[in-house]
Amino acid sequence: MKRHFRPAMTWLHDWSGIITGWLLFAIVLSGTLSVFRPEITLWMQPELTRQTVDSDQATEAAIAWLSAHASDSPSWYLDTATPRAPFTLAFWSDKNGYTQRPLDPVTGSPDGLRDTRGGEFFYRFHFELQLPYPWGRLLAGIAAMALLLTLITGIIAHRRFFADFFTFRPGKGQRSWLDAHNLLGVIALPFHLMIAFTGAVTLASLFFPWSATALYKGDTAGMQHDLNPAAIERPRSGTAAPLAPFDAILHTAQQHFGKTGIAQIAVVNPGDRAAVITMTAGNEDSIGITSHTISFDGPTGAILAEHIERRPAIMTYNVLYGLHVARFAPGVTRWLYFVSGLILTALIGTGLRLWTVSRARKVSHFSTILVARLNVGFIAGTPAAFASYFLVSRILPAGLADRAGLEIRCVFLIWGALLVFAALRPVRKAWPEILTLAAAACAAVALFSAPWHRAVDAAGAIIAILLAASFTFAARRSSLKNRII
Amino acid sequence: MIFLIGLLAVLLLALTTHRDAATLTLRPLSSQHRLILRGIAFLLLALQLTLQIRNSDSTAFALIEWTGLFSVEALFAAVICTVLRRWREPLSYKQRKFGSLS
Repeated sequence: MKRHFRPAMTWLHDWSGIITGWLLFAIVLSGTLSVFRPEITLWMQPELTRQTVDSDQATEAAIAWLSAHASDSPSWYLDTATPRAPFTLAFWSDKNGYTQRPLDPVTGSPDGLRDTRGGEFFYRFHFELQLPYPWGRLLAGIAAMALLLTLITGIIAHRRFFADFFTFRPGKGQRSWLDAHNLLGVIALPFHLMIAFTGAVTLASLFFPWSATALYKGDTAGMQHDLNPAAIERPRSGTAAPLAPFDAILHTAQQHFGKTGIAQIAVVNPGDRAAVITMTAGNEDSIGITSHTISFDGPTGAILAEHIERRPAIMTYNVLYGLHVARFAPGVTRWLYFVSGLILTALIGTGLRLWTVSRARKVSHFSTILVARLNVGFIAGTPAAFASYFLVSRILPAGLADRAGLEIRCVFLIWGALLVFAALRPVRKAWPEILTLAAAACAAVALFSAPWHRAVDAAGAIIAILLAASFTFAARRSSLKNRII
Repeated sequence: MIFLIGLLAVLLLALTTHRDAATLTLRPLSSQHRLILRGIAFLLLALQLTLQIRNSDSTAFALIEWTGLFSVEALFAAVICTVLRRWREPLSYKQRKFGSLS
């Protein structure tokens, strides 16, 4: 039993990795980028030049604009302005369906700001994969569980865990790929395990719905109310009534929340006598999310309900979810999440590459050729396609209709084209070509960040230059290797 | 400063592995020396964590940051070991060809 255990785990590690690897690569890369979700949105809005804003004033302006222009919407959802994101992000429904736009912090209007999903695209893609509910989430959940399985089997399969802790021997073919894979896996192992486990837990209710089904028997409203007792739901009365002065409501909420401030606002049934305003506190002082909620009666501004989460089971879930999304994270921690995310992306990439390198000396089967081609398309193509999202955001005219949707369609068109290119082109030529394209796209992102007046543009340019340099190095190495062969 | 303490600790840990001890030092270390170095490395890591907890508003935040910093420090240590190994490779070739310099 003991003699067969490690080989069995190695087999499981290889196959679970190769089956879910490409999906995981895209999920992890988009998740890594969404660490800087508000900053990406800000980068894609060059019109937003204000460095600081008054969050309450920005919220009042947004509510005033929504009252005038989106009164028919059944609800409004707002993410309040913060020093990281000096704009209000609003979600409401109009004649074209639901829309999400950043609102100007002074006028409260989306006019003059380009229609873009910004960082929300990476955040949503990370767990929804641009697929309809629940398919994207199901796939992401399966990928998270597979990542956890691959990590655990990888730890068992890795024979010299501590002896090879700092070992990387470049220029030695398969040995170098294995060294890189082991090194990237070991040095950030706590992060890898944490992010895979919390990712799987976040989507667990999709896979294990039976406790909720047994308890609530399809009464989702009752379940939501138990999960958040302060979230009041009441049907529209049909009698018009304006919202109470919003500054007073904001002031009351700020007093109750203290230094964490207001993070999110939901206005249900706006303009109706049954309007309810629900405010959620920020979570900058705790890892867990959504710990304090207050609901106000819309027309009067009176507090309807207040809830501070202290139930152990829900607090545990909130902490695990909070660890995954890192909303609590101060600046340094956020950068560490980003670097660790890149390490995990590289870990998956080296693992996929290792699978083909280790089989290169044997007779080439169709499966090896297929994996090799898909590797080029995904490992080199995904960063190129994601970089193109930034470029398209700056290139498309600001006033274009359905601009946000067009940006996203461009990403998938470019990604698809690169996958087709990698499938048709010989692998040894496709690697340096697509890597060079990724490097060029990143360099162009750095140029498009000009004139680098805002901190977000300067930081974006520096990261883009570093990535461009990495892709150039990788392209050069793969092209040199081809020449030697 | 906190990062440098951690980097020093991680480099000491690298010294305690057989392969990297040969890279970072000219002479092989005895098992007793390795044990002492490992102890110092763990003490430095503990010192780094203590300093981070002192500087942070929350112990949990400090712990997360410390874990993340360890990854970056380990990456730096691996890069340093790789560069040193590559740098020493021609020397060992010369040594093989022309004999010991001493």
